Amino acid sequence: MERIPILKLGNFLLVSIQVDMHDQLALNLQDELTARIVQDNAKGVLIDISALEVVDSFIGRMLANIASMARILDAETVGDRNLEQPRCEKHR
Amino acid sequence: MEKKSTLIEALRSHGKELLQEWQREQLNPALLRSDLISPDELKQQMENYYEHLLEALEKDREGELSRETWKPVRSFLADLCRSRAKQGFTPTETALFVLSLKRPIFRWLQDFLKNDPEHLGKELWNINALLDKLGLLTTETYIKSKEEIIRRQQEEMLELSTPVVKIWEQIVAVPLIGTLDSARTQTVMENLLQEIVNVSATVAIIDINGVPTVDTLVAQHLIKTVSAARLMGTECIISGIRPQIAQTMIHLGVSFQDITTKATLAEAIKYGLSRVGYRISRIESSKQQ
Repeated sequence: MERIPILKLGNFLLVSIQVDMHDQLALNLQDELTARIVQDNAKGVLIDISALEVVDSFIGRMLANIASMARILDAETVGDRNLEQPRCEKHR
Repeated sequence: MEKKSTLIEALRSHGKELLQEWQREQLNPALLRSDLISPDELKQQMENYYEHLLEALEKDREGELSRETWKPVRSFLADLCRSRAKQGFTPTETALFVLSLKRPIFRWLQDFLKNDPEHLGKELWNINALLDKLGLLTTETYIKSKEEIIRRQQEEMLELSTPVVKIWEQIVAVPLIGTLDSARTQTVMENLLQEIVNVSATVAIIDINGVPTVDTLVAQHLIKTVSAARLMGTECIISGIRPQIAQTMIHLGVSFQDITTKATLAEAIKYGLSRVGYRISRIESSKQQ
């Protein structure tokens, strides 16, 4: 089964999404990440989606959900939005 | 009428034989729960019951259980059922105590009124109706006493399951275990607020590790508790949020807004201590080991 690796850096968790994000993968990531936040007592989560070509509505919502869950478990989430930034500008 | 009285007199005079037969039936290894009751105790109960039954029958042959004459029988059976329910007998076993008297009496009646079939049928019906009523009474009392046990346990659980513990000066914690409903939230809130006053706490930790599910209603209850504590100048921390709980909460759109949440109780205690100006640190000597 495909998995997205979760790396521990001190108090933080680093998730770099290098593969195409399909729905099941996002759900698995959500399960695993929430478990790891509790287990490792993480204070912060960094999700890097720079390698993603497309972020559809489902994945977008999943990322937002993951961030909220992390918030409840007392960890801040930041997203690396390299890709989305130029897009937003294009729309404008 | 005259015959009826002879019947009851006969029931009394033949009481010993009937009782013995009944006891044989009850002490039959297939029926007897020797793990729950001793044969001697059972025999004693049967003798007492038979005595009460005959006394009541003598005064009131119609067997109207609601009458005053039947009060001793009713209260005897009620006591019996209560103790049986506590001892762990099944409802069937409890009802059989009364109903198993049928066979000896029927057999004996058949013998006694051999020559008068019409009267025999009537008597059989009377005694059958009476014993059935008594059997139903036992079942009803049995269930009532079981319900009483359940209700009492519920109340006890409600009181026991919401302790408020003092963690340190000015810090109290409520470890919640079990489902949160409005009644329980009320108790938790009252206990917590009282304890906040007692220890003049500035930090209160609510640990929901033992709460199986957190839906919108439970979250609302928690928020209410936190708001109440805030009004008293106490900062609340919600801790012990399991990963699955966090997921369901987000999917339901529940959020604890500006309430501090921590994943574990340990984290919450650490944070609470820092809020009141303490810091947890390792003792020098153990660092070297």
